[in-house]
Amino acid sequence: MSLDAVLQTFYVEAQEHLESMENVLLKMDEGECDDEMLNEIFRSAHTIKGSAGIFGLDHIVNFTHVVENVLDRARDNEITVEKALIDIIFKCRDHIQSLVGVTLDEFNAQTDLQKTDSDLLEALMPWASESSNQTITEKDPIAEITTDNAQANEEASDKFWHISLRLSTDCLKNGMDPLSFIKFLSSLGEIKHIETIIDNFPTASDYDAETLYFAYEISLQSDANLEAIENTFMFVQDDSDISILPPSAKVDDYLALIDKLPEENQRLGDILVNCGSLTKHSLELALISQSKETSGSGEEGVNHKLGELLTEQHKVPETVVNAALNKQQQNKSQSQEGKQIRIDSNRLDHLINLIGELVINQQRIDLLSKNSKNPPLIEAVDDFENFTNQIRDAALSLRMVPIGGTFQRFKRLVRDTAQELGKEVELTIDGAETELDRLMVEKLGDPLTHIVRNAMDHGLESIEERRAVGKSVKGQLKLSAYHEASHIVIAISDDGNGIDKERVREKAIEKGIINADSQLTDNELFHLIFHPGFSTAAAVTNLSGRGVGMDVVKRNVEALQGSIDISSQTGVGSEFKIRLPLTLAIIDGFHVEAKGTHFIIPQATIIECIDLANHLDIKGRHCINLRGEMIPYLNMAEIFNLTSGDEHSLKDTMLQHPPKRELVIVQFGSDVAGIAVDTLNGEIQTVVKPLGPIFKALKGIGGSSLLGNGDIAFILDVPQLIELAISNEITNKITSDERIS
Amino acid sequence: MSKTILIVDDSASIRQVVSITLKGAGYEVIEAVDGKDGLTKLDGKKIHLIISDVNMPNMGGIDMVKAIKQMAAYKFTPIIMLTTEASDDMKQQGKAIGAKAWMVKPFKPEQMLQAVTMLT
Amino acid sequence: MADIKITQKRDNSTEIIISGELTIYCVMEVYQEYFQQLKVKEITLLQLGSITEIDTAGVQLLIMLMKIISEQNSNYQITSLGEAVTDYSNLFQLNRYFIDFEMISIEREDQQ
Repeated sequence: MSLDAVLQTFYVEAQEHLESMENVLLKMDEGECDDEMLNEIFRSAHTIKGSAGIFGLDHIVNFTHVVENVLDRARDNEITVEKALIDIIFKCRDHIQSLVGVTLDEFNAQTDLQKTDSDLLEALMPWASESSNQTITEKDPIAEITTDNAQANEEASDKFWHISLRLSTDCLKNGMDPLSFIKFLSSLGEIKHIETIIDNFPTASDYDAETLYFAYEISLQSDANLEAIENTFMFVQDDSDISILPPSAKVDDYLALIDKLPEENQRLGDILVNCGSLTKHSLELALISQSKETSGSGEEGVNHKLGELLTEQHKVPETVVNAALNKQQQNKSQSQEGKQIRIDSNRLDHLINLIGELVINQQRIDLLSKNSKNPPLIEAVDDFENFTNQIRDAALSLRMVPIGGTFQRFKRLVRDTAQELGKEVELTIDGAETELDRLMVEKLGDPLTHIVRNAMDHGLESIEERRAVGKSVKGQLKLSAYHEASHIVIAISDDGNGIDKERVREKAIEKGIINADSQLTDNELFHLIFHPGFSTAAAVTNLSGRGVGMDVVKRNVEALQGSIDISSQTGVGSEFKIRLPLTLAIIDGFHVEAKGTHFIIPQATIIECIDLANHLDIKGRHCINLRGEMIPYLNMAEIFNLTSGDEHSLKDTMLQHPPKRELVIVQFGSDVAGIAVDTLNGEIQTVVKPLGPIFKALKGIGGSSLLGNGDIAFILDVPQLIELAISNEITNKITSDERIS
Repeated sequence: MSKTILIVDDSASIRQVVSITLKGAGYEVIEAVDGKDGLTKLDGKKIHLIISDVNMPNMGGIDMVKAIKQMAAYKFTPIIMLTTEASDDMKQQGKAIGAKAWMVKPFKPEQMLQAVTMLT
Repeated sequence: MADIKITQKRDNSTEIIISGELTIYCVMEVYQEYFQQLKVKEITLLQLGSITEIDTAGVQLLIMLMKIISEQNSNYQITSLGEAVTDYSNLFQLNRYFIDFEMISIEREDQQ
């Protein structure tokens, strides 16, 4: 795996945290606020910052850092979560999202992003602590080691450092072996001498084998800077005495060190001489001058530069540590991701494709086994079929995700839109746990957005209007999802004024979509709003757009083999119902034939099959009377211009009685139509393969599939066919009406 | 023999970066997604260093370290705690359970490698 | 876990063979079980060549062992050293403890 691949992980992760931030913010916006929520939102900012840092995405780090700081202060009750703050954090969240979308270079090139950046930081200032702005840039100590280190290794320097270590006696217990520090030091330069002092060894009875008794005096030749050397001991600085004398240290500094150390002075002096840090001569001189206590005269050793004596155990690591923020609450966010694994969606799609092939093969074996008339084989193949189906279901369920995540996103949209429109809207969500194919979830975002916006803009009334008719000021918007007869229904309902049928009618006439005298059912009327170029809003707003949108909604939903129903009652509200198949990959179909061409009709759309011969065509129209109901139908052979392929079958048709005409009655939404075919071959489970671009223009075909015997079958796009049947029927009706009149 | 390091963090990207960095430097790396997973992944294996996030779902870093310190086989395994929240309070709490090494997020991969080198 | 074998020999010597991993994980146990009550004869032979891994706690234990031996007026001789101890000793410049010129039997040539 490469770092680039990990970067993808980061983007996915950041997205999840941004969503979680939004959810928390939305709850806060509703007035909810507890420690758990504060901790969760803090953690999201915190993780984004932490992960961004590892990739060097400093633009994200720097901005998120301040947000994190503010959230941390809120968590510690240093500031209160007020409306104004929530609004700004909302914007900050959005800005982080934009930041995640660009590289550091892109950020540096985009002045508008930078402007938002600084504006938001400015806006956050009242809540941020003073220190939050500087900490990040200050601390990068270890990174420096790398460069220093590289330098140090290039050529031997003549810089001698002296390091005196009296490490915490507990350090072995903590897994900190001086061994690792010494090894690390030798990577910074060359250890000229190391003296392991065992003076502190206890008697046998006092000896604790897990306590560190060794002390060390080290002479290191290195070009590394003080910080780099100090950092070697960053993990043991607590409770340890670490003195580092730089190459510039004077003899006096060494004397001060000797005084400070617990061991006996003369012995330490010898050790330092051993280390080469002091010469015997200068040590003697120094000891003499010290004993005379004549500071201020003499040559070397008197020049008191104690300021250069850098003995500090707290210094460096503390800056690192202080940069960090605050006490952590052990609250655990209730994330479920721990129990999940991430799979590359391509791999999953590949698996599902393979299982599709498996299902086809299974069907072929099934066919062969039945021909063999071998009962044990047939039985075995039955079992095989059973397991194949289970495998298929299990694999498909991998691709199912709850719709809840998508719904959650609308909370924000609803909030923002309501603010913009000056309306009060309460969004309720129902059936968030309902699962559907991930591919569909992705494609549902846009249509849902349009419908929700439309409902808020056109459906729900303004506060004054609601008050006037005695409704609660807060408009109700509801998103729900549920199963219904092997379909999933997603419903968007509001308690607004309902669709103004008269207005729709007028508009449709005005736009020339219908004739002034057309008699339309309510349903037909409502569907007009999906007509391209239709818009009922008296004022075009920037929210629901200019009437583009609703027709796109319909197209998108149909692309998912779904349909939309509208019901609406004046003064009470409207409901949009999107009906979708459970999955797109494999369907239960009904295998039919027309002129030797195979078709598959999705099982879920079929109501019944009837013998066409028993029903009389209504004169001049492709329409039958089924139990008193007029049902338009399409003849497969006609629509697709099918002719029997070869002479042989042609002869068959000539000689034998013409094939039995069968009619499959299908329903989609509330529309019903018939499909006329030659033979019914029975139920079949089939894998949908998308059609190539050449066939895209072909109306009425949704995909293809390979049959068990290797033949190709076309999967019918029932919604399109029904639409075709109905419009044909309308045309026919008009022509026949004209003929009559 | 290469040394084995356990990285425990609920952020997949951090785990992966640490893992790539350390593997590149010749370490064996075992990943765990939270404290509980961390304890499971130890599995009696010889581990030379544990790197753990503090704030994680299911079981946080502090609780995990507490549990690890009870296990004879890992009693003395050095542990680096990853956090931005290295307040004194936090450190005291960590110290009491034997977690001495703190690394402040965000860090660069090379910083992580340095720290690991210091402790192994 | 290190393996300790202590043999009291007839020639007035004690042989201590340490093998395996001598680290913080076992030093306490080894010390309490074998060294705390250790009695050695005039000469103590230390065979360290089979130590496969040693850390600072392990080296401290060896130093403590030498102290105990010295306190009983015994002379210790290292009969084999092995790579693990040699590496540590080289890094920390502890060769004055871990080389016995009297009975040297180190495979490596590059010792001081």
